[in-house]
Amino acid sequence: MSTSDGSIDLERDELVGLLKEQLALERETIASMDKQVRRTKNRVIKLLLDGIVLDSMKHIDMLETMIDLLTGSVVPEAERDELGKELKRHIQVEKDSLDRLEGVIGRTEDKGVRFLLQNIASDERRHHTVLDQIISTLAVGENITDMDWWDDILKSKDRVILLFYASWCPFSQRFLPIFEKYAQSNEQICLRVKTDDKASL
Amino acid sequence: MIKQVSEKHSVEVVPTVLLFERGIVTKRLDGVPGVGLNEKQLRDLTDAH
Repeated sequence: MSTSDGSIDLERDELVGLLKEQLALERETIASMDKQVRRTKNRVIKLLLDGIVLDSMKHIDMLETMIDLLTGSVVPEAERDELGKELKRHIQVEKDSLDRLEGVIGRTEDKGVRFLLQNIASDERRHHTVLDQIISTLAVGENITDMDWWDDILKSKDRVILLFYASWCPFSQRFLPIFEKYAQSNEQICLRVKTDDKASL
Repeated sequence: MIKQVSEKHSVEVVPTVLLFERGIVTKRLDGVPGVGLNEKQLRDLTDAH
């Protein structure tokens, strides 16, 4: 979470909105790349563009998952243990495959083959990081509920200043620019919380 | 989310400023109805610690 630029709005709806926009962009990428893939006759170009399409599909899954997380669904406990075990096994499999790939990369002269193998290797390395992260998340039994999410943010720093305001309130309107100015001239983390939604107050 | 945080710390008026230190509220500024808050109050809250 970036906070160095002063105050940020932690409206969850806003974040979900941004994720949804990104989702739409990824879908556009897939559509336009797909067109190019079909047009080109060069196999290497086809392959690389296909890779981008696959990445975008993956990103769509990730974005949808984030939206799920933010809107409340969590991993049930029974599923968690099973998943953790499976992921640990998979980390080992990928590590072996990475070692093998690196061996081959070092012994091939063909530039094209080298390039593609390096691509695979970098994917595997990235997977390793991702899997590690998932496992550590599962290990602490993290159910990302609303309150935990807030607690994490609040506990992550020594001092956090939280402003509750409402856009319809004239005193809030008057105070917001003061708060913003303070946030920008200050190292401390200043967050705004909009409480407009009467139903949720 | 907003409901939980504001209820937990009984935020009843806007604007209200809460100062958290390692996850715990150590100071707060409740807006005065009909008056609100000013810059000095904000500075006093965060400077004196």
